[in-house]
Amino acid sequence: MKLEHITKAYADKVIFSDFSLELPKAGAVTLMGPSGCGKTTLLRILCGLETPDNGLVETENAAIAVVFQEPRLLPHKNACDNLRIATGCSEQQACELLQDLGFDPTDCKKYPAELSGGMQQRVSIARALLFGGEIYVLDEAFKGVEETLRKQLIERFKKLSQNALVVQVTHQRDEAELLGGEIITLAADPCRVAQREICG
Amino acid sequence: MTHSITQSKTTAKSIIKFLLAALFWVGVWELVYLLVGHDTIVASPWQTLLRVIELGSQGNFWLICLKSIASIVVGYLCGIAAGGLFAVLSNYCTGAQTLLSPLLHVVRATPVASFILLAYFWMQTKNIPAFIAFLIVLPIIWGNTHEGLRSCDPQLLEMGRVYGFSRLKTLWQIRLPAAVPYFLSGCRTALGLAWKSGVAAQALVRPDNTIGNELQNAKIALETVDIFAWTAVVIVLSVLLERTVMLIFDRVRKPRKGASS
Repeated sequence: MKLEHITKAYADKVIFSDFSLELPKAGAVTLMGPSGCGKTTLLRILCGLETPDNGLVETENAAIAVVFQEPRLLPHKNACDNLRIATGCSEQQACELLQDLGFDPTDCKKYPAELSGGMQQRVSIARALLFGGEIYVLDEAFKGVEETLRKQLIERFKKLSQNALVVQVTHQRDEAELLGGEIITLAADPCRVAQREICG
Repeated sequence: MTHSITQSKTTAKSIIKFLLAALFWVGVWELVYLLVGHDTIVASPWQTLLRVIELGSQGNFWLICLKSIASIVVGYLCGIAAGGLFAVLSNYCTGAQTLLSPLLHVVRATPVASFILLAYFWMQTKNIPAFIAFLIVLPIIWGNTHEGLRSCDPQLLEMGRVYGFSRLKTLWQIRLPAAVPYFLSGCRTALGLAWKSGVAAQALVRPDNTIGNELQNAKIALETVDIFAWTAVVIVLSVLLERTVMLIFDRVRKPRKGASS
């Protein structure tokens, strides 16, 4: 995955100016940096949700599973159906994974409004896991998820990073270290790579 | 348990308040009747009630009511179907939006009376009330549903894009559920208007066995009591129709638990 000479501005604020970044086909990459430095915009460009004003984005048409900062669940569908509709999995697969992530069988049939914020986020993570793909994009994905489960989930993504690219944005150093791979620290105005380090 | 007792107390209170308010206005009506003192100008509440009961005992009355309801409901349902379809089309196709938009504005701005009179030349009188109800309902449903489709959560649309939802799937799973409250609100508004304009059309073009025709007959015969009685029937039927439609909509909405993501 490659970003070459990206330029992106919102009104008068320049987020990226001639920004380039190359990421491996498989592995784990954590993007860190101060708020507003462009981490989320970078992820959105990678996912194709934002188009750069100039420059080239090369994702080789890889299937991308995204965990957004917000759960973004269909409000009129229960947890299980949210997974089925987005990923095409069976009801059994959906329920099994949700139970793996700490859901009671009854919780699987609950609607988003009936679930806590943390549970909704777990459904959103389950959606990405079931969707699969060559790239996993996690934008502060573990916010509101309970500590033990958070570690388990990061471990799960770490395993996936053996065959896929896992890119996460986080403010938590421990989440970056748990995922391992590379930590890229970004600086703001405009966004640039301040530091690259290999951890684990 | 405590909650349900409190709720039923509140409902009983609001019913009593409503009945007291209604009684007050019936009193005002009676007072106006006494002040005017002329049966040809104002009928009394008592005369009206007796006449409604009398009409109700005639077999023809129920046929008139059913026929009036049926023709207006047919127009209403066609308006809902066409309005919904146009909303989806204009939401998905800019060309359709450009093409249909002037039509929407013309239908909205044209007086109902003009349509009624024009329809008189275009079709059989028995079909005009349904056609007028259709024309009244169409722009309301169209406008409301279009607004609902446009105002769906952009974050959900992004989720759909990322997870490869097709256009149909996006419409079915994201846009339409977001438009449901707008659509239902449109249906509710449109029902009252369809009913009123449908009866007005019946009064102007006078198809057989319709409430509007009966109102017109009463006017010609200077039977003020009959006009009041048929108007009362129109009001009661309007309330019943609205309640029935709302009950159906509530059933439709019931499985859609949870309003936000």
